[in-house]
Amino acid sequence: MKLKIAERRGEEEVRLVVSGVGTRFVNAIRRVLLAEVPKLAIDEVKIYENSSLLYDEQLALRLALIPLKCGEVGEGGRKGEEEKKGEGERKGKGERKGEESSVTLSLRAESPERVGERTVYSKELVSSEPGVGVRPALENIPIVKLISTQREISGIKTTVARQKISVDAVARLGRGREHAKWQPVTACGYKPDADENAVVLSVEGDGSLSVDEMVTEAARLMREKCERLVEELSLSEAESETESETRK
Amino acid sequence: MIPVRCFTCGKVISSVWEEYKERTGEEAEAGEGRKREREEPGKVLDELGVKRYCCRRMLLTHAELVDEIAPYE
Repeated sequence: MKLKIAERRGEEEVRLVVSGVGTRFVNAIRRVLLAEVPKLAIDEVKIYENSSLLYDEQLALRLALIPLKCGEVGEGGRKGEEEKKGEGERKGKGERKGEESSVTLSLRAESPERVGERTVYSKELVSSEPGVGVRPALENIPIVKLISTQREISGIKTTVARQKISVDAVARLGRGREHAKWQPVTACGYKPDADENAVVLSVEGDGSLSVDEMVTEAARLMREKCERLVEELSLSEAESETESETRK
Repeated sequence: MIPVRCFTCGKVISSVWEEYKERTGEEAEAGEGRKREREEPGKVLDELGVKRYCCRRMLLTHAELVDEIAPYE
């Protein structure tokens, strides 16, 4: 297999020319990128106060769709997830995800004292554990607009009605197969290369992981899956052999 | 409010909304006295790196309604 980087735009986008393997292999990588590479996303939102124009559900969805940069947690969190996986197997499926691999981000904002408005941006989401380095990948995503209004009834002005949000958001590691918010790629596809006998794989990230990180992670996961398949196949083969022997 | 991501491909487009809105002048006439020159939406989208038509329509066809419903809350 030969791999060539045909085009690259920072950490967000890359086009790879893969030769020596079929489209099936490249498609497998694409599918792992879409559904299996874990990343952080907001999964639970505790809403203490929300007097904004958005409903609680809308606010929670907007928060969930903000790509989060993992920083150091990528490693620790991933390890945490594996430990938790073992635990989950013991406790049975459907077990609640462990707290060890979660990070809480909080958001507090209020509209201005006087009549007016203020937009709340993703950069105002702050981690409760500053050392961990979890932060929004993009700073200026508008989350909600908070508006202060005042009414006038027969010449008398009422007090200014202010809007407020007070929210704690819990981010967890997840996979794209469960929800698109955990998908590290946006547009990701392949096509046959025009002149060579090769396949062009284009990968575009959403900012949470660099394309390098996710392609290597996808390759690692695929290898792991193949190894497990071989292992289980040889296991079942051994089993059927002993079975046939006992029958004899 | 502008959707955070493109409905089709999932690219985050809301982060460029304010710049897009300002440059295409959809809000330019309100106040300020002086009028800014409106830029071509297609050109602005190209410069902001919004290249697929699924993402472009998100910004092109968005109608901001929060300010209109604000008084009736």
